[in-house]
Parts: sequence; C-alpha cells; structure tokens
Amino acid sequence: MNNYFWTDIIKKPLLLIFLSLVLGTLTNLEFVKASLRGEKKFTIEAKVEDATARLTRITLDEASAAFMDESALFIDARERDLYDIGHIPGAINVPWEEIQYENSMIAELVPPGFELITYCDGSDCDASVLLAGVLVEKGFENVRVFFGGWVEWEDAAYPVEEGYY
Amino acid sequence: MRNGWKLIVRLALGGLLLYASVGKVTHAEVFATALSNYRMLPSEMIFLGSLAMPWLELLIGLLLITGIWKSTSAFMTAVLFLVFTLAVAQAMVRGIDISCGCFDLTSSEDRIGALTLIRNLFLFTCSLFIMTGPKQNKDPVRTG
Repeated sequence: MNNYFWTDIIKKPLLLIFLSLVLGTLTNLEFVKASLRGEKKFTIEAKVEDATARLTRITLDEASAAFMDESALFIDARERDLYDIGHIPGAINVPWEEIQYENSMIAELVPPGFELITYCDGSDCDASVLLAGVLVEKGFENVRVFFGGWVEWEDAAYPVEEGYY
Repeated sequence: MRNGWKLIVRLALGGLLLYASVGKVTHAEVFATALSNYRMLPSEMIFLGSLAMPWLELLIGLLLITGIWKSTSAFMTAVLFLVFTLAVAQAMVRGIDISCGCFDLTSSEDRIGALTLIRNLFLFTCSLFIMTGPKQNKDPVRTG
C-alpha cells in the first residue's frame, strides 16, 4: 500500500506535472519571456489596475466642454437610485455595484463608436475608474474618467437631468 | 465484462482529454485569461497553470489511451475533473458569468452553467469508476 501510494499517487503525478510545465514552457516561450519581464497581468484585479493606470483623467472644465459640444457619451457608474435622483443629461447608467461580476453585459449596455467618459460620486469613489478599466479591457477605445464626478458637476450648477434610464 | 466497460470509459476519457488539450497547449496566454476569469487563483498559479494544465491533460490523455501507468492516470483524471467541477461550482455560486475555457478557447459562447457542472461531475464519476477495483499485483509474490 505504502509503496503504491508513494509511487502511483505521489511520484508519478509530480513527474507528470513537472514534465507538463517543461513542455508548456518550451511551447510558449514568447509568453513565458513576456510574463517574466512583468508585461503580462494575470488576475482581473491586476488587469484593471494596469488599465486604470493608463486611463486619462479629465477635469470639470474638460468634462463640461465635452458635454457642450456633445463629443462624448457620459456613463454614470453610480447605483441606480442615485442616478434616478440626478445625473449629467444624456448619461447612461451602468452601475458598477451590479456589473462588476457580470461584466460581459457591458458590451450590450454601452453602444460602440463613442468617446466615453465615466464618472461616479467624486474623488472618494472609484467605481468610475474601475468601470473605465473594464471598458478598456473589453476593447473600448477612447475611455476617459471624470474623477471629480457628480459632486463637482452639481457644485458647478451645470445642467442635470432626473429620472430613469 | 466490468473490465470491458473500464477499457471503454478509459479510452473515452483519454480521447476527451486529448481533444480538450490540443487547442490549448500552444496557447497558454489565451488559456491564462480563461483561468483568470474564474477569479480563484493568484497570479503565479494562473501563470504556471496556463503552461502546465493543457500539457497535463494531453499527457494524461495519452496515458489513459495507451494503458501505461493506469492507476496514476486514473487518479489524476479524477483530480482534474474534481478541480474543474469545483472551479465551475464556485464561479456559479459567486454569480460570475464566464466562458468555460474547457475545449474551445476562441468561443465566448461556451458559457459555464448547470450543464457544465453536470458534465464535469459525470466525468469525475467516470474517472472514479476506472480507479476502482482491486489493484492488479504485477509483482510475483516473494516467497523468500
């Protein structure tokens, strides 16, 4: 029994795993090299972190300019009830709280071909950044983050809109 | 008769593992994305898993078909399908909507769901079936 256990259940499986690792490395050399150089991100969190580091953050002035000339689609990342109370006119609601684990739906919610600006409450919330990171990951280009968000927009007394999306 | 069934199940599992592995062995990066979607492993494990897992499937598949190292390959098949079952189950419990990464890495249509879970459980049961039974003692009894 002991001999069987040691040979068949420990030694041989370990040998197979080692052999697989060697073969996997040899057949994916470019990927291994890039990974060892730190160019590849593996967890979802690391991917979003990487994407968000490359995001452009815009100021209130830039956000209002984009609003005035209608050059961008605003995406409100806050919860639905906050969005209903008030949001930037024309903004669509993609609540990060709901969407974070089912982000395959994002492509259905966000129309393609627009320059996108995400926002949430303000600088103390990160839903806008995380949502923008996922949008970038999903292949949307031209995604920017209005980090001042709803708080700055409302303080500046810019136009707001109420109601459902 | 039982041995006949075992042979059939062993060949079927071997073929399935071979089929599942061929598209993945040289596409570790795509497979790594599929693994990361399950949100259960740290970076290092995803990296090593994406390299080793497809080849492990291929080697175990070959062993099952050729009948070499029968008890080892049956044991490892069971472990593999148990891990796959748990991975799908935890994703479903957490409400993560992802593609399986089981066979076709390029398809996003291959979503995980109850069927994936049942399939993996069935395959796990099959691998237990080929594990069971008295181990044939190949060594002659030593009498002195």
